[in-house]
Amino acid sequence: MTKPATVHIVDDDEAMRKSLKLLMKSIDLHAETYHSAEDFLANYKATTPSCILMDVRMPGIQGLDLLTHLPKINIHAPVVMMTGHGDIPSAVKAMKAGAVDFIEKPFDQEALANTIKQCIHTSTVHSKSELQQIFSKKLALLSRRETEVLERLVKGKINKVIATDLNISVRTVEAHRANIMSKLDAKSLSDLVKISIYSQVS
Amino acid sequence: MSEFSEFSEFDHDELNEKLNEFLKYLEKTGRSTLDNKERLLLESLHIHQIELEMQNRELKSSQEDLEKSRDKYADLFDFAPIGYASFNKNGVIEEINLTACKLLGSERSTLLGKPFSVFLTLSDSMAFFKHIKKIISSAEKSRIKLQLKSLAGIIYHIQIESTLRISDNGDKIIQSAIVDISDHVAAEQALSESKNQLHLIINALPVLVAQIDLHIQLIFSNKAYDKSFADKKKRKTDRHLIDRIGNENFALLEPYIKVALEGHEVSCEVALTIGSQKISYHVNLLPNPDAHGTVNNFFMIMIDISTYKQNELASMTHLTSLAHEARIYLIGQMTTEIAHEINQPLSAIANYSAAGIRLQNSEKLEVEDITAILNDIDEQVHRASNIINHLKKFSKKRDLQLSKTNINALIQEVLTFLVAEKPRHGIKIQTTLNEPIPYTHVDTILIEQVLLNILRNAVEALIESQQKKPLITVKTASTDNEILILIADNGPGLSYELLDGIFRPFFSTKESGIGLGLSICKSIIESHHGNLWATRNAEMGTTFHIQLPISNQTLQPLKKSK
Repeated sequence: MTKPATVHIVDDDEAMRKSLKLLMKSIDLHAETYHSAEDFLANYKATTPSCILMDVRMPGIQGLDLLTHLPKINIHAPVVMMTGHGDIPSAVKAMKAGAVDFIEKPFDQEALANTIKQCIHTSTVHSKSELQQIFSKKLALLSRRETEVLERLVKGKINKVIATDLNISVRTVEAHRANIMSKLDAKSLSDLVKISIYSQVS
Repeated sequence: MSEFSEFSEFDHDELNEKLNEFLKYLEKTGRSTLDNKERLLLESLHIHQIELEMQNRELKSSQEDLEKSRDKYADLFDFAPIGYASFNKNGVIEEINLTACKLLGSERSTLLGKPFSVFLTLSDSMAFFKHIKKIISSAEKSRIKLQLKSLAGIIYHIQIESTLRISDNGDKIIQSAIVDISDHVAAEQALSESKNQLHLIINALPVLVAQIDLHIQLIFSNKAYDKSFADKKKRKTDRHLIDRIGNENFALLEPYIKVALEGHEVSCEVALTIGSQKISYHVNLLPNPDAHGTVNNFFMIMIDISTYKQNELASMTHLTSLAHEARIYLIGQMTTEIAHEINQPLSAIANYSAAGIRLQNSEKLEVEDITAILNDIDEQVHRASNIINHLKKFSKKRDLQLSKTNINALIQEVLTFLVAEKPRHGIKIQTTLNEPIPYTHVDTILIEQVLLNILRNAVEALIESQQKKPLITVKTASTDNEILILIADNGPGLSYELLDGIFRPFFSTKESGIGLGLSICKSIIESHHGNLWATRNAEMGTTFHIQLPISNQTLQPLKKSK
């Protein structure tokens, strides 16, 4: 019997910690919970396989700060960041800071379970360079206008603002957006962010 | 005796010497001798003569004294500040002093023998004769006021006080003191004129004025008062206030009347019933103490403030609708935070239920686990619905509603709204809430709006400032009659210019701001009879001060809409 993988959950909301722990249990994962970044730093014990599931918003040390701090203290467990719905700038920052993935609250439990599992069993995940290749190919399919719209979408701009920026109508932006989603085979804005971030990783 | 007059200046001894000399002379010249009898007679005659001379001298000196004294009394008579004259039974002047002469404008010589009536008008002449008759018949002192025209044409008001004297030859003489009372009469006239003017003005005033005595009887009431509170029985006396304003209205005023009769000025706002109408009055009760400080009556001044009340209501309605707009704007600004707040319990619920379903499917779930999960879900449902209800309440347009409030509890509630905001930027919120805090009557939604607005401003200021240790402190304190809320940040602070400017409408330092937030906050606090202002902190940042009265609704009712 293989050793059960551990998920380290860092969140200041008690209900979130408790419900996530139960959710992990339901997919046969062991969970350790921490109510703050400070709590995590004090009590984390490295186990393998494992991953860290962390809220971007926390009192005291912020999620992003902890994320950038981890490699310095020799913690290399993959990190999945939880962000607020539509908080694209935070998600982008998290990805750039080295998070493997991010997931928006409230999450699709199926997606969360998959993301966590993929994180833990990194072997099943495409390597970053592979991903970059795949995504770059897809991005090449976009028209110039679509690229412009995508660039703005992943900065967290809403359709209305993009329309003003590019001097086109909101409807046109919506049409471009739908095209982008279908060309990139993305289901959500967060998929777009991931594709865009990975393709930039060099 | 005349031949001895030259001796009058000599005293007794000198006279004796002279007499002896004379006798010697007689012996030398005429007769050789005088017999003893003759000599004795002569001597005694001479002594007698000397005594008479002495008596004469005494009489002369006392006559001089009398003359001096008479002159003195004549002067006193003539130069007295009061005019004196005596009249015969026909009113002819028999004696008159200089003061009276001056009054009549002529010499004594001209005036003596003139009838006094020539200086009087016809009607006053009649009165003067009646006065004389009365004194003659009753022999009692009497007084009369007359108008006198002097020979110089000057009009005087005089008062004559007369007594009866019977002269040596039995004539009845009227002795009168004549006093010039022109100044007094003029002063009296001026007084009555100003009284009339005052009356005229008081009656023309739209303000209701009444003077009321210790027995709550009306001493005076002006036209406006009589118009509003007419005495149906039209009585001049026994006018009790209750008869005018009715029992119901009187009951409202009675406590204040008591205070006024105790000597304290007091004012109140009351809604009195007149006919079928309710009219709001501002009533001022002014004690009217006498020279000894005793209050025997007071003035009741009433101003109809119905129009003002209506305007106030209109402006309050305006404020509530403006405040509502501002709240909607505020909520709009907070959508991210609010979404996060709602997302937290929703995510937890989703996690619980997904986990429950999975565990159920894999048959790992015990009955106790189901109960525990469902309880957890229920808790989160409440958490989410609380936020939504609060938001609903906060965004609803509503009239002012005052309720007994614990400000500390209200602050805690508002701070939960900021929970989502502060961790994102590492802002620490420190509270020092003074317990126990007195209850106050406020509109909770409006005060919450003010607190939220100021707190959000503080958060924004701190985010912009890149402050390393951003801190917001919230303090409360109370005195006997007010509550103070202090909200301080350690951000960059405001310039002195901005400290006032931020409360002006359409003033904003933010690009996206509409600049109404703080001006509405100020209006809200002022509508609660409080104050809102900002100061610079000694070290850094800004402190907002909210001062709210501890409401005593009986003395200072807050503005209510209906």
